[in-house]
Amino acid sequence: MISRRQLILLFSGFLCLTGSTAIAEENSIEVIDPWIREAPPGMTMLGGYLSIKNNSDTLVSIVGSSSNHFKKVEIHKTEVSTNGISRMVRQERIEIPENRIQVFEPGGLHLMMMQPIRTLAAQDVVDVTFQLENGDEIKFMAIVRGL
Amino acid sequence: MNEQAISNSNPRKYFSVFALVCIGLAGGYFTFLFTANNQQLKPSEIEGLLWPSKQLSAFELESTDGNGLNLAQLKDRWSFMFFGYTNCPDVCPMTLTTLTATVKQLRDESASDATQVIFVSIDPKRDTIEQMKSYVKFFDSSFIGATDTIEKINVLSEQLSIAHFRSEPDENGNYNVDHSSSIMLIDPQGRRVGIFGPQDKPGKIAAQFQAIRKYVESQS
Repeated sequence: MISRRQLILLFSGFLCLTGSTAIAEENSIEVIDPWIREAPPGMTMLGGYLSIKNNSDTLVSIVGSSSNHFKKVEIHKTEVSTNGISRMVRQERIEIPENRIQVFEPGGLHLMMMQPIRTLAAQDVVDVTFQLENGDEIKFMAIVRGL
Repeated sequence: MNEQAISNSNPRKYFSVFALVCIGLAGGYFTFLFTANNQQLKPSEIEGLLWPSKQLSAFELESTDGNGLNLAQLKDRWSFMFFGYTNCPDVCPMTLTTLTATVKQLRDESASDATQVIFVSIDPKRDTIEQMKSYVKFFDSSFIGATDTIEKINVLSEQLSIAHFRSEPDENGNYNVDHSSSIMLIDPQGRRVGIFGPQDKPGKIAAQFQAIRKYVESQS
């Protein structure tokens, strides 16, 4: 017969387990080759690209992005319609299923990095953060690539 | 009597048919030889070719090289023309990078003489000529930038079926411009003769350009 106290202990233990699992999941998300395309001085929007791999066994959802180097970062996808018109569609959420890779590349998904606090040159390194739906954050450094 | 007539006409009939077949074969063979020597791709077989061409009519924009962008500037040159804006973070830098590599490849193949790359900004609100100068130089020192009032831009963009729409600005005043992102090829007579996609690789554009140029020159 399990007493109430034992039940509470068991339950707390279970919660701790799930908590630590969440941290482990955060470490099992890999950001590969993050880079930002260099732009001439005065440009207010720069493109950021990377690949992100979900090594965990649960769905990962990115719901926001930010950087100390930019006033605002949004995630957009370039879509070219059948009549050749390019538009950048804001993505409110990017889902990465377990064991899958999501690629951000020119002509497709990209980080729209707005209003840099100073002009960036090739080889500069910039911090970027992804906010996940479960409250976790993924932080990484992106390098500026010259044209 | 009938049997006799029939048996006499059969060999002649066979001989006539045989002769006709020989003539037909010979004729076919010579036609083949003739067309094989003059073998040329049909317009529908040349990817990127827009034929019959469309003659552009007068337009005038300010340009980064100070000569203005108009029909005179398109004369005697093969122009790769692309419409976009400098604050575009993805498609425009990607396409201009592709064009930089394309021109480099054409230079390596000694096929770049009389070519030019022109970037027209459809966002004159933010893109001044000075801004365009530093922007195009970033890609290649030979690139030409052009812009002007929206009305003047439309005189050119509408002829090339290039659409552009400005999005609503956000709280910081940032906005995007949706736009046709195809690269238009204009020949030395100021005619639109070709089109390339923004996602095309430089090698593909260089090869298609050569094929289009060969065809257009053969039609003169």
